[in-house]
Amino acid sequence: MSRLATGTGAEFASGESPCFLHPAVLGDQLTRLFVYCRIGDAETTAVVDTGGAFLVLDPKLADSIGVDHRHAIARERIHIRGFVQRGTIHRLPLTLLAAAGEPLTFEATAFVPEMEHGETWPLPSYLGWQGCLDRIRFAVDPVDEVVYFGAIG
Amino acid sequence: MSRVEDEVAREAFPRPMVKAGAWLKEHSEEYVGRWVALRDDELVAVADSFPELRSQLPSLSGVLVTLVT
Repeated sequence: MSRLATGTGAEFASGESPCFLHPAVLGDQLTRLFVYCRIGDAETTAVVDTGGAFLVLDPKLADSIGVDHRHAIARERIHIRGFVQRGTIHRLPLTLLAAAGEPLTFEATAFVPEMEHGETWPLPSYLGWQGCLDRIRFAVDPVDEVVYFGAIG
Repeated sequence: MSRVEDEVAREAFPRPMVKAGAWLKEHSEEYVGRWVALRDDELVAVADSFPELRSQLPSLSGVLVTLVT
């Protein structure tokens, strides 16, 4: 916020929030960065994944907030944790929750995995780079576990 | 926002998120694979899916919901 500025002197961030480091999946040796966000009417957590793409959503969460696969804008196959996953592409509003300053809402491109009957999605939601994190400014302080964010433009 | 306003905003922050991260770090092994709803560091609901969790709650307002992985 006031401690961060762009090259032109404008405020870099309009909001900030606590974040935490934790393995994405129990048993993983590496920790990931979890942030707090609102998807539909659910306040939840998601993993920041600058090496991934899209907002990756649990299919049942997506269904519950009204994401209809029949209205997908595309179908895609992406690699998630070494596996090729088929799914549908949607545009969704995503809000980063703020502890100080203002929450940030922006349009994210969401990927909803297509599951076989009886399968359960076992992973957290992910905020990937393309179609999601590349639409905002953000910075992370891993010491104090704070994430700063702001709109582009 | 000034530094003073910033500090006030942090102290006044009522959202469930601040304590939820600590809860998840401490209890994730017990609830892995399940959806949980937290109000601060209090567990208010547990379910096998988000729709099931939602059906247990009168409202999602004021709670943080997440899949424990």
